[in-house]
Amino acid sequence: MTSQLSAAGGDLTGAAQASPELGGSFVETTAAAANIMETEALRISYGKREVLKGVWVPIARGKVTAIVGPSGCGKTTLLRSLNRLTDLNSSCKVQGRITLDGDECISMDPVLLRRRVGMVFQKPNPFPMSIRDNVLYGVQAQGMSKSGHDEIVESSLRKAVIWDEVKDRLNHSALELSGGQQQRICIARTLAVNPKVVLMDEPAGSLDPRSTLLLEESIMEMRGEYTVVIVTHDVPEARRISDFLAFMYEGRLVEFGETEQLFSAPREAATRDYLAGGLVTTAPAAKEQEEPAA
Amino acid sequence: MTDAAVLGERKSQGIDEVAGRERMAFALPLAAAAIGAAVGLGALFANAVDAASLPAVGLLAASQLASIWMVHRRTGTIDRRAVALLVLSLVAAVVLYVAREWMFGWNINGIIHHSVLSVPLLLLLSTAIAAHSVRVVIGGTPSGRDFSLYPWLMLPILLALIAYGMLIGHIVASGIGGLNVTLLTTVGASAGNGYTPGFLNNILGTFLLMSMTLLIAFLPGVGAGVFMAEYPGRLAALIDFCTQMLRAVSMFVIGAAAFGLVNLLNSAKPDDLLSQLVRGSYAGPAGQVLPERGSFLFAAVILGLLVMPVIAKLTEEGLRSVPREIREGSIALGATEGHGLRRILLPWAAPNILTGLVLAAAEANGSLAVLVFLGVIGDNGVGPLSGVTSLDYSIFEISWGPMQYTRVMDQYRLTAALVLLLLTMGLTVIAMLLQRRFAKRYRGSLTSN
Repeated sequence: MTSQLSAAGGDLTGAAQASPELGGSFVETTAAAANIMETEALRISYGKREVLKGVWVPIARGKVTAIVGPSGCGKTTLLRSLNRLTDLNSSCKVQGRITLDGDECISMDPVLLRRRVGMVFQKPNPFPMSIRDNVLYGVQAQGMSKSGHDEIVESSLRKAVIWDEVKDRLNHSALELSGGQQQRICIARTLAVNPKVVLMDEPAGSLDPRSTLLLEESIMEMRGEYTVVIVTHDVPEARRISDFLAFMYEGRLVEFGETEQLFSAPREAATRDYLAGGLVTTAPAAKEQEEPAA
Repeated sequence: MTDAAVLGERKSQGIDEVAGRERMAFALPLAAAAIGAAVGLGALFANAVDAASLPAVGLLAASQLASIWMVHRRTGTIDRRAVALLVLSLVAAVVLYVAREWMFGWNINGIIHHSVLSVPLLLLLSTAIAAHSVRVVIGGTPSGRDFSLYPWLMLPILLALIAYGMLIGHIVASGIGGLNVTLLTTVGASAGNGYTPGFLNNILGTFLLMSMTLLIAFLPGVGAGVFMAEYPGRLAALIDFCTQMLRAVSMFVIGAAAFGLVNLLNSAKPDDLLSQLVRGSYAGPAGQVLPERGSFLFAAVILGLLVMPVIAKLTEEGLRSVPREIREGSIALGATEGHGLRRILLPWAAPNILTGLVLAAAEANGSLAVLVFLGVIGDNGVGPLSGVTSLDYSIFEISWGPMQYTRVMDQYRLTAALVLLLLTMGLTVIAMLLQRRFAKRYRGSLTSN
């Protein structure tokens, strides 16, 4: 199920971690553009508290990458740094590199970055306006085409697997919907502006099982056309929906690889413990994640 | 219902149900107490102290008796502490009545009456008895103790309502007699030695002054609010500090300063355009241009400065109440700050901004401190460059103006007050309805946040 390109991207970090002596240039290998986004030596701190302690993570194009790890491991911060929502907190300091299609994100206009990298939040946050206006908000905000709005609304809502439920009441307030429906409206709203990457921060965190199922269905729909990065606490969910899996612990990326591979043959004991649904009993050595030697 | 049955029922029911009925039961004595207090204090205003104070005291005592009876019916016991309080309060009332000449001999005739002391005292004791009764009836449970707070919480509210009621009642009762269509649609004018009463220009002036003030203050106010909420930092803190300072300065001081400015301009360059804009003018009998004391435009600018901080503060509050998730949602969709402000933040803050406008309008209506210096009766017309006037000012002028005017207008003082009251109430009701609409439309709920 993994293409050659993304497999290469996936293998890279794992290989680099397991045996840096293998060599091979990080930059060279990724130059094939298998990865739409990459972070390099990403360090993020809030005031004096360092939350990310040097993270290299590749995001494979058109794939679903899940980030898992215990609470406080920095996964949400990592996610929010990918479209620079971390900028909103004035005490947050970001060091290192984040690239999107080879462009340096840190020096990009944040508004333009966010038009390419959208985000769905943990708590459904529809705007207090109609369903239709919610979906078109980004389209209008970005000054995109004035025509074809109906098509955009329908196709976005279809991709978010909510069209059938709301097609007869597009002019009703989005706040009348249930939490699960609201969350799918938020996904539709994000997809309406055709981002390259969709970030999702525990999108099923506040949903019931049925809504979660529909949400996962819509993530499946997005695979291929969009690149999805999803933070989740739900390990079985990560296994169901992701192609690549990143396991983080205390601000470091402990292990990264194809999801099935990580489940079947984790390199680190901590990864095995966590994915098995247990507590991390043997904390991974707090070694720096080193950039592979050139 | 027998006591045993009552107790049995109490045991079988949830405390909430029982408590609800108890609350009803002791609301009655409390209401009687409130009426008693109203009668007593109202008597002071109506100069009918001797006639009304005894019924007032009687009503208060009756409310206390009702409390005691209620407890007796519920529990079968006479509450000794409540009886002691009742006796104490009656003794206090009698003592105050008897000793009033001795205590206040110097001004007893009508100015300070014994009911001034005895009615509040009895009301306080009534509340104590009501609170005590609740405890006895509901018992020592935690919610019983909670409910015994209720009468004490009600007391200041009742007193405030009574005070409002008396004031408004006084205005309505005294003002309604002079109210008629002619008065409201006539421009007041000197007539030989006398004066033809009319409030038309004062009413129009009130509206003009209010709308010009809001027009001038709206954009800078909202702008300052947006700046303080969205771009926090040293500059925002400085603006905040300045606006707070401006709020703290007495309007009278500002009025005096404005007056000084008009005089300065008039003595320096009376025919200068700026001077004419500031002081306003009217056409004399021979068509000549005569100066006023201050124009509507100038007064509106001054008042605009004064009310701007109110609008700014409420705009800021409204913007700060936008949930973080919604802000981030807009940002994450690649919306610019301006777009988010226009489509989400300002609509969200609209109910608050409206509150700011209502408060600002109220201040513009109560602008007397400034108009004392600048205002005129309003005989000479209403317009941006006419001499500024308002209903507010006419009330002042009726009290302290020239003899020729006050002699005729004295009877209409509270009529003007009544018209102003009705106008203000009407505007406030419209604003409240709009607020509900905005909150529902832009926040998706009737409650803010």
